[in-house]
Amino acid sequence: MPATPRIDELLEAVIDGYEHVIRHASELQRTLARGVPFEPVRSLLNATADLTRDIAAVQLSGARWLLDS
Amino acid sequence: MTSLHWESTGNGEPVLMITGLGLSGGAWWRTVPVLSRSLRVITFDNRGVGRSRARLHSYTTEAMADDAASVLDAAGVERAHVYGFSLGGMVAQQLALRHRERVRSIVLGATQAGGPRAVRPSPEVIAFFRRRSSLSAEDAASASVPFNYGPICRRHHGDRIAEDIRRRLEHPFPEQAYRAQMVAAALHNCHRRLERIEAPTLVVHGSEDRVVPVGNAEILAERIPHAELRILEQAGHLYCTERPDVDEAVVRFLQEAR
Repeated sequence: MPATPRIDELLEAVIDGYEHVIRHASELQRTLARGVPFEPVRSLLNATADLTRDIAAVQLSGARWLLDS
Repeated sequence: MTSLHWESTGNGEPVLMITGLGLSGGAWWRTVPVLSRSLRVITFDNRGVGRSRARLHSYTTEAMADDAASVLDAAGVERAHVYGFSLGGMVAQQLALRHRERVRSIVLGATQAGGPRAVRPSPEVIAFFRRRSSLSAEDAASASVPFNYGPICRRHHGDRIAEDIRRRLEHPFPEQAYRAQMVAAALHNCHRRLERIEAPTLVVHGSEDRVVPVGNAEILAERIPHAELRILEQAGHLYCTERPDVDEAVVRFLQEAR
């Protein structure tokens, strides 16, 4: 019989999935920024990519904190 | 616009050095001459510190790890050994997790994994770091001595401590950058993911470290597969000053990790 995953393993998988999506979203914004030849749009896209990564990093840290508690 | 100042010394396999809270790449001045005899040593100033400039500060170790990866890009390095000290060690963990293909091996010095299971410093140490921002750079450097150095070093190597402080004061940092790095350290949490680190790892820690208690090194060594733990007896947080012999041990580890 297949083993049932524990709830913390499921939550961890969800958190990992979210992190994966955020990294792709952030990379996509950076790729878009590289394709934009003029300022300030390029800087704005790069700043948005940084912000996406950093806000998610705080959320992920908090979620993993709760999971470890 | 963000611009990160980096320097490269020596030839051989590359090793990227990541410094701790508020320190510039120049803080590795004792270690670089030893490592660069056989390795290409890349140091850099974290965002907002030393000669690096940034409109926005880094408030997470994830962001700081991405900065470190961009230094490798600028240096034309595909894969490197990584030596992170204190906050830099937290960044090194993130680098090994976020950019694993770039990391050949890791040295984690006087650092921690973060999260609720991290071993916290004493209330006295926490209180010092809270009031540190109200002190001048000179006063803060002097006041931090009992926290940064072990008792033997303070008793016998006052000259080394004075030299450290003199060099640290050459690169003062904006308070905002310091606060951002404090936030990054507080938010850092790699505990659960340490077992995913595949790179050979050496954990180095002073037994008398008051800033990051030595229990954190034991957690890192336990959680990271195949990690090697080296505890430096009687050494405090800034163990490179107290135990310069550790640099040779780091070189040996990096050579074996090729």
